[in-house]
Amino acid sequence: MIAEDRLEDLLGRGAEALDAVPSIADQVLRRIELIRTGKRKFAPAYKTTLRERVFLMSKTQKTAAAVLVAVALAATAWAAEKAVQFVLEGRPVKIKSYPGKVLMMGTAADGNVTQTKTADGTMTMTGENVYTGVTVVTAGTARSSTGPFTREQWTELDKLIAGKKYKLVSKAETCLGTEYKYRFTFSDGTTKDWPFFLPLDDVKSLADYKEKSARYEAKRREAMDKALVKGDYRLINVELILEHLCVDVRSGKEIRVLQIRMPDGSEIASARFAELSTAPHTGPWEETQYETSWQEHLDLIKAGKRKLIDARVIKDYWYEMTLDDGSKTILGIGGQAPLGKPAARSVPSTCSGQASSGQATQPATQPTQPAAPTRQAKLD
Amino acid sequence: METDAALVQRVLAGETEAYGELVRRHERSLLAAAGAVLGDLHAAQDAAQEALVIAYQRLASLRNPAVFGQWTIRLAQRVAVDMRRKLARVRMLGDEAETLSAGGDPPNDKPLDDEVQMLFRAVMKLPEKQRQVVLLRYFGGQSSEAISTITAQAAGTVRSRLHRGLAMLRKRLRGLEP
Repeated sequence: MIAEDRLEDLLGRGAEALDAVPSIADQVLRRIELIRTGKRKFAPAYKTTLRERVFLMSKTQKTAAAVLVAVALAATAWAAEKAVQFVLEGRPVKIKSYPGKVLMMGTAADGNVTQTKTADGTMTMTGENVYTGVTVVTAGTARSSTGPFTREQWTELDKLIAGKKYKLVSKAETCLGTEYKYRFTFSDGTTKDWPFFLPLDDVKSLADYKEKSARYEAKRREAMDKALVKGDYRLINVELILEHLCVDVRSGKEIRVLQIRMPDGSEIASARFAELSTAPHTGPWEETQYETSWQEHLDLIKAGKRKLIDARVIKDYWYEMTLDDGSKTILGIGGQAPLGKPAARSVPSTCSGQASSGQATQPATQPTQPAAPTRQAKLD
Repeated sequence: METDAALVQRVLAGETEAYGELVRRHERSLLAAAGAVLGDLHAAQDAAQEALVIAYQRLASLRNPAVFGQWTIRLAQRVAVDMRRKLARVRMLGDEAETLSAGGDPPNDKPLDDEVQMLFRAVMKLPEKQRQVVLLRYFGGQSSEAISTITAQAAGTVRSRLHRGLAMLRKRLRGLEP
């Protein structure tokens, strides 16, 4: 047991830390007012980027996205073939996709399909078309109204970038590259933090950013493709997630319940109606997720309110990829099977040739690195 | 000073300003709740804001308006857990420190002191009744009398819950003994 004065000191420090944070009351009321007056739909203050959301999709959602990829592939078979010819310089290849698995790496704004030969000789598809599929659903009709920026703010954002009126608030490594979060203060007094994938020091406008980031993305994608082809990746983690497949007795709807471990050791049941999870997520998360404690979920089963049908363990595979320049990046694959083990046989010479011609992703430590496209490229 | 329940009723009657009062009352508690999960007050601010907007939208479904504070804390915890899961899964494993030390501008995030985060976690593990009074008293800066009004409990009940809560905290934080 700690002494009373020690606890008082700790409580004082806790209060001090909280005192340093400005009140959020005005921001909350402003958002509520916008929602009440119908000027803005519910838009979470914390928003993952579109690509992050895709990256974090549930297995079912990824499967749905994979179906989109397959449809897109079928529709653009000629283009896909050309992409393969481009990637592998005309070598005939046998395409094999992994059932239910989509590689989420790099990004692409325009839905280019990249099919890459892995070291075990199979072909795999990178997720560009998945992003396109989601883009169509989420941002195609109401970008300005559902996005965290208003149309006026987007215009002003352009000016703020041009005038270098922003502040770097954080810098973090993500699977999509180094993320630089900048803070912008708009003329209406609101402040927003927004992530970019390159430093804004040399960026003149949003259009300039879009162009630079597209260039960077192309290089990054190429570097990741090459690493994949060469087998320069290693499994660094496998996450196991238990999923209960249930039926809500009252509504008769299917519910999938994920078991999520909390930092304090407790377990949460994240329930999702199955039909909501079969399409790429488009709405606020809390409308499709129902979280209770795991025990409460089990109690519902015991009480006969949920009928347990089956259970399964979902595996998420995490790989560390080494790019040509020695930098490392993380690749996450949600699916039931890992990538094939890299074979000892040599990589096709054409791919090696590509490796020397392309500029790979620069290390995150270099501040002048080009950038991957971010949601700006999609939303502006 | 009005009870939480009365303020909730006013909000439901269309007085949005009353919600501002509720927010100001409980925002620190929500920050602590989200901070316990996220370990960062900047992110915790987002989570707290999120929870309060969700709470407003669902206010009509709150069966007992007197538990507004406890309810929003649970919402903030869930939002924070959701955020944490998302952030954890996209963050480069292990290399963040290296990146930061390699010449980039120092971030302005507000990572919590380890001991303070442990304190927040310990508070969040208290039973709800004790937790609420500890949060309102020490982080919300409310007097025992004010807490008594806010929560519609007798002053004696508030004091005894505070006393029990602190005793439990002292036990749970024994690992922090100097």
